[in-house]
Amino acid sequence: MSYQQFTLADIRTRLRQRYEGKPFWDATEAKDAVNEALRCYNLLTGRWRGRTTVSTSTTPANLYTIATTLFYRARLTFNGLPVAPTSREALNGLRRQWRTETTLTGDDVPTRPAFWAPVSLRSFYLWPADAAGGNTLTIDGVAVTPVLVDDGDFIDIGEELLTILLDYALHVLTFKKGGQLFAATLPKYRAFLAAAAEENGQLKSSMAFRRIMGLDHRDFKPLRGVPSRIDPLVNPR
Amino acid sequence: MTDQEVLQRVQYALLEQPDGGQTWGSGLWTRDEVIARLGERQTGFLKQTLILVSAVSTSAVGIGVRRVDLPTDLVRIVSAVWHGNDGTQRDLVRGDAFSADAILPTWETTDGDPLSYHEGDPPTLQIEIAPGSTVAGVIDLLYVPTGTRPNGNGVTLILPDEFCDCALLYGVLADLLGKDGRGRDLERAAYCEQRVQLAVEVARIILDGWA
Repeated sequence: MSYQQFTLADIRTRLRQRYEGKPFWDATEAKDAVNEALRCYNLLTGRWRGRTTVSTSTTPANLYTIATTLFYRARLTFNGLPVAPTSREALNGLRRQWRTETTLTGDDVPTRPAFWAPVSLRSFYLWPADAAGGNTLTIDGVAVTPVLVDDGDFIDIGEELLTILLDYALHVLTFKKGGQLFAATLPKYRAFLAAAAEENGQLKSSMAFRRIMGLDHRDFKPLRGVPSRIDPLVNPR
Repeated sequence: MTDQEVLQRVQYALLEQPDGGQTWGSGLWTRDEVIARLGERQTGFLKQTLILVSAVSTSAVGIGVRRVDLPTDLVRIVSAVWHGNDGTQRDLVRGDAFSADAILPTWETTDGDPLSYHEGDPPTLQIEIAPGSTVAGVIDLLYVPTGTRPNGNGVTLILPDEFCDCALLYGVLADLLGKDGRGRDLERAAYCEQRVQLAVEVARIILDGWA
């Protein structure tokens, strides 16, 4: 990927070039559409990454919340050592008393946090709880989307991604027109989703994504009344 | 993102005069109606996806007490954990009176270690634990809160901006364009609903472990 800095003014100019004739949007609409493109792309792909740190509580605690600079968490380390992801259900199933166990519990309980379980976008459980406190949890995740407010604000992206984002912004701007003009921009929306799916393959398994992209082929395989090669054998005439 | 920012985006999309959602000159929709749709969609999205939760301990639960009050901003319970004053701790299984009657017929008359919690049987904003405990304690709840309801006066929405743009905005548009009347546009309403469904699936994938 080759990165360039594109300012909001540059992007608005490029957006204007995508429509022949007098644009039917003002500067505020264009800015909102571009920021929506950035946010939706970040939501679908987790493109912009960030890191934050949290100190473990001196009173042993299981539940932690991360700063709002991160959109959501993806990976956790404890004093530089990785903490494996799991789920609350797995912890409930395997260790009934996991909430009361700390790094000083003994027996088979690890002496450092070994697992983390996501609870929501910005909170997670840690097991076992850190009895000492004051240690560093480093959380890598997806950052809050950088948005453009003033003409001089910029983002670092490749030219190929800017094209996709501008097409999506144009699609958003035509929504208010409705009808055929809006329908004519639907391929741009699908191209936006396809580009997001290339960057994050998990989207391809999403049913909603497959329906929007026309990849739902169940109607191509009817189960009843379909002629087959064994019909002459079963019903000879 | 504030409610006024989302309302202004809705105004742009519906060719209304953009003024932060204060006036809706076409007469097809009213300000109160749009704000109500915004609040409904926000709460509905949170309930479907569980992307934001709050943790709270209920007030003290006495010996043998089975019905416990819930927070007034509760939308949906994610988990309930019993903490007895004797140090016991147990994740309560979500159940109902029917299953409790089958498994433990004496749950209403004989106290013991709480095993399950019921939402459907007690009155609104109460849960019932079965059986009642032999020691006092508290219940730690993880639940989805409603957050501050939008009122059109600049309230900061509880949803992250990414979901405001990709789900909340289109949810409101789906409702307004699907309304029976002169403003009805079923094709665009269906498109908006598709956008919301995609955002719901993405939220679930994120919570399951994305990237």
